[in-house]
Amino acid sequence: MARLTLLDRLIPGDHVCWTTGDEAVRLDSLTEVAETGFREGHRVVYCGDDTADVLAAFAQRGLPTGRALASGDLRVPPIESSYLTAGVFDPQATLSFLHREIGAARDAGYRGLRIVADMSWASRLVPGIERLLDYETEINKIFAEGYVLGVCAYDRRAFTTASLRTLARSHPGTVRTGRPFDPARALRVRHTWQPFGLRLEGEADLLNESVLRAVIDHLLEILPDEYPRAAVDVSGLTFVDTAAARVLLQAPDRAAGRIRLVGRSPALDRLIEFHGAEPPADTA
Amino acid sequence: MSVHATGFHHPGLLYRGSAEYVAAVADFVRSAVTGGDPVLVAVPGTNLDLLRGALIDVSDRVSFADMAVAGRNPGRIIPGVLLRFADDHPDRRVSIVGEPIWPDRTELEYPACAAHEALINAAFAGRDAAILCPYDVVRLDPSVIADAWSTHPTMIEDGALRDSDRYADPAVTAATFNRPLPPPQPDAESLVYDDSLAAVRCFVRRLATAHLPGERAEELVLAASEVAANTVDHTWGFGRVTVWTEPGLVVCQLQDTGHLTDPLAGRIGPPHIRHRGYGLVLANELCDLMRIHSSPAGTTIRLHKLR
Repeated sequence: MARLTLLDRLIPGDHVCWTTGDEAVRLDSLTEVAETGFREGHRVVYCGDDTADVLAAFAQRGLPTGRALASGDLRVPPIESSYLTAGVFDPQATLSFLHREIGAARDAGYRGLRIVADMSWASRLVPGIERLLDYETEINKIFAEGYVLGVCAYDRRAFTTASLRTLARSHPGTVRTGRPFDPARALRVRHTWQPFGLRLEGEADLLNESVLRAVIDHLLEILPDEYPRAAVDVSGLTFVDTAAARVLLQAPDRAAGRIRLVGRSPALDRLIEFHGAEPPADTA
Repeated sequence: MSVHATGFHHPGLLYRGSAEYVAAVADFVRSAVTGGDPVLVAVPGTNLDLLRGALIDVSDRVSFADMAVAGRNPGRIIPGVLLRFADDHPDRRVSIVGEPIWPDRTELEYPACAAHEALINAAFAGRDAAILCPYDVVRLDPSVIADAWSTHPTMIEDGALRDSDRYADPAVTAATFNRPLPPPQPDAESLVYDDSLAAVRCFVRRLATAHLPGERAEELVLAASEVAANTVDHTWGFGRVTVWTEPGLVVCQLQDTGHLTDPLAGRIGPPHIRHRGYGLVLANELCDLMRIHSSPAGTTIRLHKLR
């Protein structure tokens, strides 16, 4: 099998929108994600309505599919239990599914959980589909915990350019043939406990600012009362544009000062100044 | 020749020689100082030296800026020089000397300068301010002086202030300077982009760092990313980014299928950080020239960074 390495730099906590087109490339890359997962001690969960084809492709490419299914290293739940309960897309039901899978994988001792979803079902006029964008944005808080790796595969032949571009913006990273996942060109968000907050790495721009907004909103929701403030560590950000800077700058306001930006670069300070805001003095 | 009355005043001052220049501008400044206005003098290098000398006795009441630096990019003058000074003095009438056009302005810079002069009228409409724009009649091309009559509601010639009979709607006048750009160098490298700003940045960074020091290269990368973000936000089509060098310059051009209809885009920032629309203002701030040509067929934005 040719090494494609489209998705091989993903680690738990990453959430990517993968635009697929070529079937052989798709199956090769899926195999790679599963194979790496087995090697890393992760559970691999494949969600889609083509599980038979994918399992056959795995076997054909030499993965021990039967053994992995029997041990629980690989799971292929029917789409009716993940995205389409009773034929409807219900974000709450899908979130519950996700939480059940996370709990089960943790209980079974897996070091991480790889969820690979073929989103072709979403190209059909499924009831509730209009809530998909909000759902994709909201689940970034789950990835920020650093246990789950999420690959959402969107077949570009099944979706319009407009809907693909819109959906891509709910993911902190994007992948397609010829453009492998590169952490330096994506945003990585991780929850931190000491200090309580978030650590941001990579590039934050217009295309992932809704992710940034969602994880910061969530941080405020879960900030315990006994913690005076949460820290958003921005020292790992190598690029910030005006769209992302506005999210970062509005966060302390919306949080009534309960969020501080830690590790700002001179470039980010200049951007803050450009937006007419004073760099917060106490957040060196 | 005092223009010290409430409301917005934007006279063009036609001067012949430095003696007339210094006398007329110093008179305007002293009158504003006496009236209690915060005053900014933003004129290019040698003229700045003349005025600093002539106004030394009131220098503690006047701010000075070298327009050839602060206003190198004509698109930056309204947001970065004029409005910034006005906003630094809220609820005050301000008086400003702004000289955006000098003989060394290039052919590529000039349309952005003339559009700037027209758009000052729109940007300051309703504000309490006076902006005096000196024009060197001896050294500037007669066509530039003719344009000044259409971008200034009033003109001062031979010491007399009078209404300009050629002054027209600022947006209409600015549109006449919405001119096509010469083609890029034939050997310039280019990249077609759709929804990957990271790819645009990577492309511009690779070429810019070969010719610019790190921080300036990264400023061009940020400016290009902001322009490309508009492509992604306002069109469903593709864009093309092209980078090349000219003597003393790195040039980055972005083209897309969008139509930019607001003549003040990039020259006035949004009212609050809650609002979008900082991108082109930032690009103006970061670059030494930003030229925009836009029509229903598409938009071309060219960015210059001096080496």
